[in-house]
Amino acid sequence: MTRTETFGATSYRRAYVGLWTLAGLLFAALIGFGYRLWAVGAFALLAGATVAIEWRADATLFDERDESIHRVASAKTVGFYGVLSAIVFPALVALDALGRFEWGPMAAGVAWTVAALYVTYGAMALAVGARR
Amino acid sequence: MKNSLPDLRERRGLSQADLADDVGVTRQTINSIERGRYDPSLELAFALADRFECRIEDIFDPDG
Repeated sequence: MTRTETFGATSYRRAYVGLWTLAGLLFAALIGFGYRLWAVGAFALLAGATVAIEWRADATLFDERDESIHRVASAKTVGFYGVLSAIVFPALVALDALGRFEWGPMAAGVAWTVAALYVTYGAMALAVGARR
Repeated sequence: MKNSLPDLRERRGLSQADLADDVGVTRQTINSIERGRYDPSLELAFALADRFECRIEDIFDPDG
């Protein structure tokens, strides 16, 4: 392989990451400005472009080190929010019982989302564990 | 883990990017291995040994 081809792989990788980032930022910004259908269209277009890049690139865009980084980052994220949830939600329940806090739709939504996330994580861990 | 990957690579006149292409990983991964910041999988260690026509122990020192 030549140096030029490999430099191309790095460029593909940057373009892939850059387009996903742009897709997310643009999606949020357009929703914020009230252009919801444009947000969906822009997101779909940019997400499609990333898929095209991955399909077109004949070089390795992501490898085992990226997977390793992803595993560690995921574990730290799950652990961090686990500790945070174990502190925040019991505290909110206690404050609610003391009449110092009221569960609004926002707080309840966050609580249900976090609960669903950890139930999913538990199911995934069981499924992966059963295969090893 | 210590390794002699930079020596082996430079002796053959290969860049990190060339070696990365040969074994199917990114240049960043080769760079991280050479700097001792990432220990490769068994599969990649075998691929590197195969590329340099040597044993894994000739590249990596587990006691390093």
